[in-house]
Amino acid sequence: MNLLTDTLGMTEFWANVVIMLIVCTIVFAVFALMSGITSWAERRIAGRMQSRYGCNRVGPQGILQFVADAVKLILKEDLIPDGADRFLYKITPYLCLMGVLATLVVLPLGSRAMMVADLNVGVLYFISITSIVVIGILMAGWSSNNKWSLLGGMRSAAQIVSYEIPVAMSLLTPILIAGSLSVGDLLDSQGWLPWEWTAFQTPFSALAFFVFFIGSLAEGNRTPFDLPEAESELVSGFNTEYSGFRFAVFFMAEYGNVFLIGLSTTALFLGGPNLPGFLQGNPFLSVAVMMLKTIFIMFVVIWLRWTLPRFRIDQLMDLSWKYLLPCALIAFFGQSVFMLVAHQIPAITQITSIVVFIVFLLIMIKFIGRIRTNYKEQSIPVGLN
Amino acid sequence: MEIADLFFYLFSVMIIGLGGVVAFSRNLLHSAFALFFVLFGVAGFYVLLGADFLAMVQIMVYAGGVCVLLIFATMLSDNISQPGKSNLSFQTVLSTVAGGGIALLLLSAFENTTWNVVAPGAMEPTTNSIGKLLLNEYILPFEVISFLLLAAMVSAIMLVKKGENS
Repeated sequence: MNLLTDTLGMTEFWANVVIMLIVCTIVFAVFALMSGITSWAERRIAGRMQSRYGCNRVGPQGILQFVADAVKLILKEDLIPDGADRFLYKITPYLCLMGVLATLVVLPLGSRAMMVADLNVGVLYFISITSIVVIGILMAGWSSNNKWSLLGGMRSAAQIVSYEIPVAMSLLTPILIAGSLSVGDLLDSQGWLPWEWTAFQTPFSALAFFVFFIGSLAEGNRTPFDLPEAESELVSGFNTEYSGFRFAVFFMAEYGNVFLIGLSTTALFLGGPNLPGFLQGNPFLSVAVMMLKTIFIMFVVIWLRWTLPRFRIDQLMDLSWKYLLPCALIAFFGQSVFMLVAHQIPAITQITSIVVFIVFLLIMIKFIGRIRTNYKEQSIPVGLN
Repeated sequence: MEIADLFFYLFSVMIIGLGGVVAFSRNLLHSAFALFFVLFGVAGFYVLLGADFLAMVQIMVYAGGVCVLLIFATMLSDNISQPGKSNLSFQTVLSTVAGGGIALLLLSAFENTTWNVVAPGAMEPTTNSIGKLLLNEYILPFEVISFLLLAAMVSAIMLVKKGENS
């Protein structure tokens, strides 16, 4: 800032504009790269899980596949269907991308300082800005003049609107723990050890974490909740009619959303970029820790997609309203009561969080043990590519 | 010119222009989509005025909730793209009287209010104080409103149940 105003002789206004543009470019570049790599990783992991190859031609292990895809899509003809609402049809992909990108404003790419803006209502912003995506999807469905697009768009919007509620409710628990709506304060309320993370603070925050993760999967239209794109019923949902660059933009928004699920889960529940005391504030390490956790969550999201079958629409709504919402309310209420009780005896908090983490660890060990057993005793050998 | 001024003009143009689309578009659905962005622009104004919490609630409730419901409702009505049936079929006399009346009312309110002027840069987070006010001083109105919403919700469920039984 000072560099720009003093050395280059800019007015404060233009210096602000330049800084904003630089920050936007950095964030957009990270987002675009991550969404591209996610699309490659998804196809690779899917291939591995289904004993086939996946893309492995362009670049080492096929990692440049997304560049090839983008070039191909940009060179394709941009078709606009007959009878489409031309103006809405054209602007919609950018609206969807804008809605997804706008979430990145309050999410840190590294430590607390590496946020575009640490709004003091950051969590509320994070929840409410999704409405741009809803509008974008509705517009896409409507303007395509195609009944499958319209059905897909309506389904998707209904799904996002109803899953927004459990997600927002589950976020109340970390807000209670941090005592603030700012994402930066949420990061600071957690430590670097697993039992200092919000997710393992109490049984209630573990429940909230669970609800939040499922809810954000559904909001991102990922399997098992990808009904809006159910190929067997709806061709490809709201983006059926899109081709060329506009389809690429939709695609980028969709895969970028996976990145955002990872980033938000990490920042809000899994300790974010926090490091042990003597390393605290090291920019490279904090980015590394943040990205490592994010990539792991992204892997879990992809893994779920290729493991679980798709829900039916009524099951989907039942899950949101009859199970997740009560769970989120219980988590909120339980956490408030717990904090009232533990307010008097601070040792309780420590012990509870360690016990919750140990229980989680035992479940994981049991899970890994079962996978090993299944792996050893299967009749068909798994081919590795 | 400050950054805030730039955004002020940006949001003004957005609200006035898209408000025009809401009123005069020949397609009801275009009006509904434009309304979303008008509400968004209003949230932008709230941010410029330092009402951060209110701005986010505006986006969440009005833009994200009410407006999406409105679009759903619009899509359920038939012949929405025919201007004769939808947007441009208005009562000239009645609408002039109603619109003019509301405009006069707003104008008189604007003239008679003494506006609180806050120096720019003196903006503070409002969430904390709003929460304290709602749960201390204004607890009764707050609870009454929540009961009203609960009643609305229960009656909506009752209406649906009635329809299912018959």
